[in-house]
Amino acid sequence: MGINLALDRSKQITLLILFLAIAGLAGIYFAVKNIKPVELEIGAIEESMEGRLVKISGRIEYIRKSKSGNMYWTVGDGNNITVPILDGKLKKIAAKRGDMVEIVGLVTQYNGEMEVMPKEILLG
Amino acid sequence: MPGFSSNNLSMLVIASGMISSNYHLAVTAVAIEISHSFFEFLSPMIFGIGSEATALAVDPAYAGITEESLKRGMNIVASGGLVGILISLPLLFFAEKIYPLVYSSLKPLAGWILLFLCVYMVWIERSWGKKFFAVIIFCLSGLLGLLVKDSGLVSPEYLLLPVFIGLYGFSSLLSGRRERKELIQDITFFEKARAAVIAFISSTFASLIPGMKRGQTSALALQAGGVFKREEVLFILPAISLAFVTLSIFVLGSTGRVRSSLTYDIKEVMGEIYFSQTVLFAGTVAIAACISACMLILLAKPIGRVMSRINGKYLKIAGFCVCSSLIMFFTGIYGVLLAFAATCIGMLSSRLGTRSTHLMGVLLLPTIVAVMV
Repeated sequence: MGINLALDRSKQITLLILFLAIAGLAGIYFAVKNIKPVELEIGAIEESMEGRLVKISGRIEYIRKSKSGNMYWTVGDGNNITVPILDGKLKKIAAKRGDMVEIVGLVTQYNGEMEVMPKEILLG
Repeated sequence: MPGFSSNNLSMLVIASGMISSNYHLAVTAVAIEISHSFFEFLSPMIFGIGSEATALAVDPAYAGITEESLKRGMNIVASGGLVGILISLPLLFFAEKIYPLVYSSLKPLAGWILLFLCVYMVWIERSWGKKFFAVIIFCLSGLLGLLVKDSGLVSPEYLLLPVFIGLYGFSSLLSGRRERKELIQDITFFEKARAAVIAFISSTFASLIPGMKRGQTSALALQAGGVFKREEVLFILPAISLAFVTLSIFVLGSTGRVRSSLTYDIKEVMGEIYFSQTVLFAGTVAIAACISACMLILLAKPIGRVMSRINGKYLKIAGFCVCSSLIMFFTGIYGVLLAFAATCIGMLSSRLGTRSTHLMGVLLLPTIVAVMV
C-alpha cells in the first residue's frame, strides 16, 4: 500500500512538472506574441540594439537579388539600412524601388553593417 | 565561471588597448577561444552548470568535489581536448580543395541528414516507453528553441544562457539527478581511440552543415555513437569541442563561411581572410592547446584541494545564486521565464529517466527547421 502511494505521488509530481513546463512554454509564446517593437528612425539603429525588435519605415531605395533567390532591400528615411528578405513568404511581397514600407524586425549585424531582419512588412 | 564566454574576455582584451593590429587581435581571439574551450569544463565539474558545449558533461562530470575526482576529470578533459586538436589539424592540408566541394554538395541534404540522426537518436532507446518519453522531451525542448529563436525577447548573445542553465543546471540542482559518489576512473586506450574516431567523424561532418554547433554535434555523437560511459563522455566532449572550433577556422579560410562565434569575430575583425592566414591560425591553435592542456593538468590538483574544502551544499547554493544573478542581469525578466520553462523540461527529463542528449532538441529542432524550410 505504502509503495503504491509513493508511486502515485511520484507520478503526480511528474505530471505537475509537465504541466509547469507546458505553462512556461505557453508563457513564452504569449510573451513573444505581445512583445511590442520599438518604433524608431533608421539613423537611431546602433550596435547595442542588436537582437531587439524594432519598427522602421522608409522608402525602398534599391533592391538587390542574389543567385540563391534572396533579396536585399536598401531602405532609407534619410539614413539607409539593409533589409535582407530571406523568408519565403516575405519574398512574395510585390515591392519595387520607390515604394514606402513599414518593417517590423530584429536588429542584426552582418559584416559589421547593421541590418533589420524583417518579420512583418507593410507596403504603402 | 558559468555564463562567462570567451567573447567577454576578448572584449576586455580589446578594451585594455594592449592590441593594436587587427591580425594580432584575431590571433588573440583564437588563442582565447581554444583556452576557454579547455577550461569551460571546470564549470560543470565544480558547479554542475554547463554551457552549450559543456552541458552534456554536467551529469558525468559532477561527482561531488573531491581532489582526486577533479584531478582525474581534468586530466581526461585535457587529453580529450588535445586529441580533438590532433585529429582536426591534418585536415588543414585538404581543406582548401575539399571543403568548398563538399560544402556545396552536402548543403541540400543537410536537413534530411539531421532529421534522420534525430530519429535514430530516439530509435536506439531500448524500450517503447523510453522512445515515447524521448520524443516528448525532444519535442518540448525543440519547441522551446523554436519559440525563443529570433523572438527578440532576449539579446541573441545571451539567449542560450538561461536556456542551458535551466535545462542542464537548475534542473539537476533541483532534482538531485547527479548525486554520484564513485570516483572518475581512468580511460583505456581502446576507449580513447573509439572516442577519437567518433569525435573526428562528427566534428568534420558538423563543420560542413549550416547551423550545426558544438552542442548539437555532441548530442548526436554521444547518442548515435553509443557513448554512455561517463569517462568516455568526458573525453569525447572536449575532443568534439576543440575539433569543431579548429575546423570552423578551416571552413572560414576555405569557403569564407562563418560556422562559429570565433570565426564570426575573425571575419568581423579581418574582413576577407586568405587560406595562407589560416595556416597561422592553425599554429596558434596548436600552441594555445598545448599550453592550456598543461595548465589544466597542473591546476587540477590545487583547484581540487581548494574546492574539496568547501562544503558541496554551499557550492550548489553559490552556483544557483551566481547563475540566477547572471540570468537576471543579462536577460531580465524574460530570461527568468526562459530559465523557468527550461528547468521544468530538464526536471521532466530527469523524472522520466531519458538521456540528457534529448534535451539538445532545443538546438536541433530549430536547426532542422532553419535548414529545411
